[in-house]
Amino acid sequence: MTRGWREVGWILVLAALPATASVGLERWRAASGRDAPAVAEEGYILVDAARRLAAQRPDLLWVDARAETDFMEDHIEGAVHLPLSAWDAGFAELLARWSPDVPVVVYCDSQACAASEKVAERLRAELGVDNVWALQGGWKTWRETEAEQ
Amino acid sequence: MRLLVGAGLVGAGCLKARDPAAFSLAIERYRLVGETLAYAAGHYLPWVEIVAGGALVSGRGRRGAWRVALMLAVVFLGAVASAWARGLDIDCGCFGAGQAIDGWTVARNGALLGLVLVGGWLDRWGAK
Repeated sequence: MTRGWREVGWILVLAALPATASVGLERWRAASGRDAPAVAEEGYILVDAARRLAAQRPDLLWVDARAETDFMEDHIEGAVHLPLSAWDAGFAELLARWSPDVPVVVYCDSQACAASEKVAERLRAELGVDNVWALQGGWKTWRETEAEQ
Repeated sequence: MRLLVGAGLVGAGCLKARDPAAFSLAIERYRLVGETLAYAAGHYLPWVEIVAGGALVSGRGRRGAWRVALMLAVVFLGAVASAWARGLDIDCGCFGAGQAIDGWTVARNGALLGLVLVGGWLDRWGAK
């Protein structure tokens, strides 16, 4: 092995040490509850809070911002399919069921997708209301926590 | 040039290492790797940048550091260009803050690759 590649190996090994410590620290914080999302990020609603809201407000409007194939496979009952890529058709369906006092919750695949945040933002702008949230953790968290209900 | 590339790597790495969860999420949004690999890369890559950048700045282990810098630049450019080509509307995750991916982001990553190539060549890839 040449000197250059040996040095590459050293760099990769040295980087692994703080990276491992960083993972350990994050897991410790999660285990001790320090990172538990007691409060949703701005513009988001936690899954538990969304479930409570849906129980109080049966007229709550769910908006599915995922791809059409995912929506066809499964979705929250009564959800309107409204991805950014097919806005006009979905928005017309939403308007038919929406009124200003109806809360709207938008979801996409998981916290790793940005679609729910963008759709919620656009809905707030186009509808001129504030009671539109993106579901924190998205469809993935919704399904994962379904068994706990 | 070596100091510039090294300092740039350390700076970019520090920004990402401050919030590895956000960087992991940014990687996952590229849809190139699964959740587990994105998590590992989100915690590991910032430190690779910092160590390689530190090596370039200090001058120790420069041969390896240039190779790592080149690999990182190629990987980052490939990821950003592929996301742009697929029309993904996601954050770049490039320097920690939220920046959308567009032609400018791709060009900037291309320029960074060029900087590594020129810097490495000027330093004759760390060889003495």
